This record gives sequence, C-alpha cells and structure tokens, in this order.
Amino acid sequence: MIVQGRAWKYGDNLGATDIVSADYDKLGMSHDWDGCAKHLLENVDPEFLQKLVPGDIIVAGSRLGTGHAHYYTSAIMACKYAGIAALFCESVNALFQRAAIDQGYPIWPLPGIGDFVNDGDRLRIDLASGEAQNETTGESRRFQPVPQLVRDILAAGNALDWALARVA
Amino acid sequence: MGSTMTAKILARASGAEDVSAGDAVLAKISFLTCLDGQTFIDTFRDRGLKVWDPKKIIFCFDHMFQPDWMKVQAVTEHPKIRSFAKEQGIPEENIYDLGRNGISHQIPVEHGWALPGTVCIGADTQSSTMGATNCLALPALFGVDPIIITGDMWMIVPECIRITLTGAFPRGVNGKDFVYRLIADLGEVAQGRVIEFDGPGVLNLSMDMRLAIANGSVQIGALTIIFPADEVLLDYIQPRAREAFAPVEADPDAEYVAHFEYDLSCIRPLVAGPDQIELVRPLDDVMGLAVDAAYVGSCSSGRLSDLALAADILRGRQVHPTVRLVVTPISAETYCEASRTGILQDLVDAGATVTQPGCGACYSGNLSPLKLSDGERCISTSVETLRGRMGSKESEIILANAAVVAASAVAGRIIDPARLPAPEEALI
Repeated sequence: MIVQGRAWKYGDNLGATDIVSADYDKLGMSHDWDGCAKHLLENVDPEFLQKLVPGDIIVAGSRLGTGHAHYYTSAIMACKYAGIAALFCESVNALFQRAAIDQGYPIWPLPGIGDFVNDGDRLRIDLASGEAQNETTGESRRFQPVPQLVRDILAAGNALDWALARVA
Repeated sequence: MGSTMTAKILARASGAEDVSAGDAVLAKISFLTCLDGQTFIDTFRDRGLKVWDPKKIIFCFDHMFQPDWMKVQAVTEHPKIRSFAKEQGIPEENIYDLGRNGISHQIPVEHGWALPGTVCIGADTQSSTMGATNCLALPALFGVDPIIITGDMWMIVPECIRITLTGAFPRGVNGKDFVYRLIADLGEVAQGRVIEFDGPGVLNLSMDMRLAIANGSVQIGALTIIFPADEVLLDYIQPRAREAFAPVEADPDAEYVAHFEYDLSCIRPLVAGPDQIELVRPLDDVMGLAVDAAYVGSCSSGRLSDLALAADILRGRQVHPTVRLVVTPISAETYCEASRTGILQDLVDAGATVTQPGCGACYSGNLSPLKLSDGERCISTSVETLRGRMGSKESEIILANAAVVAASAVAGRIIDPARLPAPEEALI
C-alpha cells in the first residue's frame, strides 16, 4: 500500500475545524463533501487550494484532529474529496483517526515525519513496511508500519465493506 | 508488567490472554446506544443489511433535531427509527421514546446497559460518559455501520494515564469544575489516551459527579475515561444491571505513561470560553459580565444533582427580568425524580423554563426555546463554547457549573453564588 505525492506541511494542533471551518457546518450536515472540499484549510492557508494537486499529502505536527467530533467527518471528507492522498502527523486524536480509517482514508501518525520532509518535498511511503523515501532530498527512513488489520480496512475501501466481507 | 483497566477490558473483549498499547485488536461490544439521528439507517435499508444482534441496539430520543437543512429532523427521524427497529427485530423497549427518553449515554447507565468490564459503544460524541460505570465507553460517531454488522470493533489499544484522587469537592463545586481543571492541566498529555482514576477520593464522588467527569473526555482530549468499580458504583448498578457482570481493576504495577494526583478539596468553580473551551479561568475573571440567557442542562450537567444545585440557589429568589433561564433534565428518570423531590417546583417558581428531557439548548439544531441572538451572552452548563453553537455567530457562550449559572440568572450578570444577596425576607 503505497502513498506517493508532494507533502504540504502544517504545524501542531491542526484541528478538524481548521481543516474545514465550523462556519460550513451546514454543508457537512447536508453531506455536501464537494462543498466542504472547496473550503479546505481556508483560514490556515488561503493559498492551499491553488497549489494543491490531487495525490498530494498533508503532513501535520502533533495532535492532529483536535476539537469536537461533530466536525470530524466534514474535515475528513473534505480532504478525501479534494484529492489529498493521506494525512500524516507526529500524533493524532484517536477518534479523528478512527473516523478517517472507517472511511477508508489514511490518517496515520508517523513520529519523526516532520524532520524527514520539508514543505513541498515529494514523499513516497509504503504503509505496510513503513519504508519511506523523501524523493526530493534522497533520504530514506523506516517508520512504524500500519497494522494489517487497518490496512485491510483501507484496502476494502471503508470499514463497512470490510465488515460485510467478514460476515459473508 | 501488570495491566490497566483498559487493557483488561480489551483483552477480555478480544479473547486475548493480554494486550499491550499499540496492538491492533477486534473487540466484541456489549451493546450500541444511538441518538435520534442516524445515517446508518439509510445505508442498512439501501443495501438490505441486518444488524448482528437486534437485542443489543438501543435508540434514545434526545436531540430532537429541528432545522430543515439537516439530514435528520425529529419529525422524520423518529418515525424512521421506529420503523427501522421493527424491520430489524429490535425490541420495542429498546427505543427510549418520549416518556422514557433521555440522552443516549445517560439512558444506558440508568437502565443497566453499561456494565463494568465491558466495551460500550455510543454513536454520540460524548459517549465516554458511560465510563463512570467501569466500562470502556467509546464514541463510534459515524463509524457505527461496520460495528453493528459484526458486533465487534477494530481498535489500536490505547496508552493510559493514571489520576489518583484524594479529598472531596467543597460545597458548590461539581464534576464540571474538575473537567475544566483537567482541560487546563492535561490537554496535550491526555491526547488519544485513556484516563483511569483511582485513589480514596473516588469514593467521595457521587455517580452524578463521575458521569459529569467522564463526560468531559473529548473536551479534555482523551479517548475515554474509566472509573474503578467501588461500592458507590456497585450499589447504583446492581439493581439496574440487565445481566451479570465482572468489574475490572488495574494491577498495582500497571503501566501508565503519566501519573497525576488531585486533591478534590482544592478544586474551585471555574469557567470556560467564550469560543474556545481551552480558555479556562477562575470565576473571578469573568465576574460582573452581563448575561442575557442561562442554561442548566446537557449531557455534562442535566443530572439531578445539577438541578438540585440550581434549585438551592433559586429557592426564594427570582430570575432577573432580562434573563431567560432554561433548564433541561438529562432524562425522563431525572425529570420524574426532580418533580418528586420538589426541585422542579423551585425552578419554575423562580421563573425558569423547564423543557422536555434531552440535549436541549446545547446545540442550536435541537428543539429548545433557548436560542441566542446577535450580541447576547449565555452562561451555560453545556459541553461546547464554539461560536454559533447555541444560535447567532454574534453571541457568546461561557460555561460554568449549575450553581454559578443559576446565581448569574438571578443577578443578571456572572456572579459567585456565595456573593448572591440573601433571598427576600418575605419569601423565607
């Protein structure tokens, strides 16, 4: 399971409502995920959507996904619909991460990732082995692999289809 | 190395000898409690799916969602839940409909679903509340669908932090003040971890206080909160339990990533907000600010002891003419008890508006007569301070305990209950 793309770096405490502002709660509550995606990181980095290319990666600092869980799905689905391949970080709110994995969307803590990539570097990482290459600097590093159980859910596309396959 | 309460519950639920932090496990759940707005119903109907065990799903009518811009509205969602339950074979008594209703993580405690030593799942954000009963209580949020197909849930075994309690709260201080203390002190340390309580101070905490403390998990940043099983819990839960249960206790040498101690007698009333819950301050810092609205209710503070705290302040006094005070009991059981004990009488005599049980004014999408308009300030016992949460984006929410809210409703400004003038002579 390989994730490969340009990495955009953000700091610590990037909360769900930093990813999509609570001002757009109505879009989230109406499940308008394309609508949410149009406001991605609007208050954090107003230029973000202009530089984003589908397949890009967000690298956050510590405590990614803080804040009230009511806003998690909007943030996760906005990232997914905007074409961001994955969110990596130093540490993540477990409930935010769980909500993402259930949607088949990789949000995973890779402690040390902040030192390994600079803003705009091209990153390639194999989630199964934890092997990562910074294609811009030429450096390699091995991170903690993502457990098989979680990779199974990502591979199934989402946790519901994974669960249905288990009872089939 | 010994095991935490969390590791013991997850080992038991996943059929493992023991588990360690970082392990990926599949944990069997004991039941699922749902609020009254559920997207999984559409998915199950569209795809013709069946829940793993209909007897283990309950629905609690609590939010009463109103606006027409939301996917779920009480007027359509409640009938949908009733018919879905019928289709799936979910027993009628598992629907906590009007008359038996209440908040979806309070009902399972009152009705003996959330039992010590088990994994309890709630669809609502604040489901950690049930951790007061020595269970691992986790919010499934929008991830309910896969869990109720298989009856188990994937988990990465979390790290735990230990908090040892001594002493007892002074009068006028309750679980909510302690949650604010923990938000201010722990934030980053608690992130994604389970808080396990122990120590002699636990015995001094009523069930209401434990539930209020466990309720604050998400705001503290923790994954959930677990209390040990002691005589206070067992006396409460034994007559209510729906089946046999086996509590867990942490081993003396259990591994924790951090350990803190709190003397509960040192906790003082605190306020949080506006806008950010992390903005926790002593009551003195906001003293004198005018208030237009006051709210006692929500899953953090709509319990009998909160209502009693407000009633003690309001007895013989009147709510200030420019303040709307709304009180929402957390559940039908609490509502009945407040009626039986005269608490409701004290509240309405003072000019409070008491609503049907549930989540109430905490979120502007709920059915409640309390909505904030431009330029208003509300002092509230509820769970969130986010701008716009209770109505206008041009209004402000400050959170405090029920005594502070009631006293401020009388004074028309934020006040320390201890400094409220005595009730008028004529009324004594």
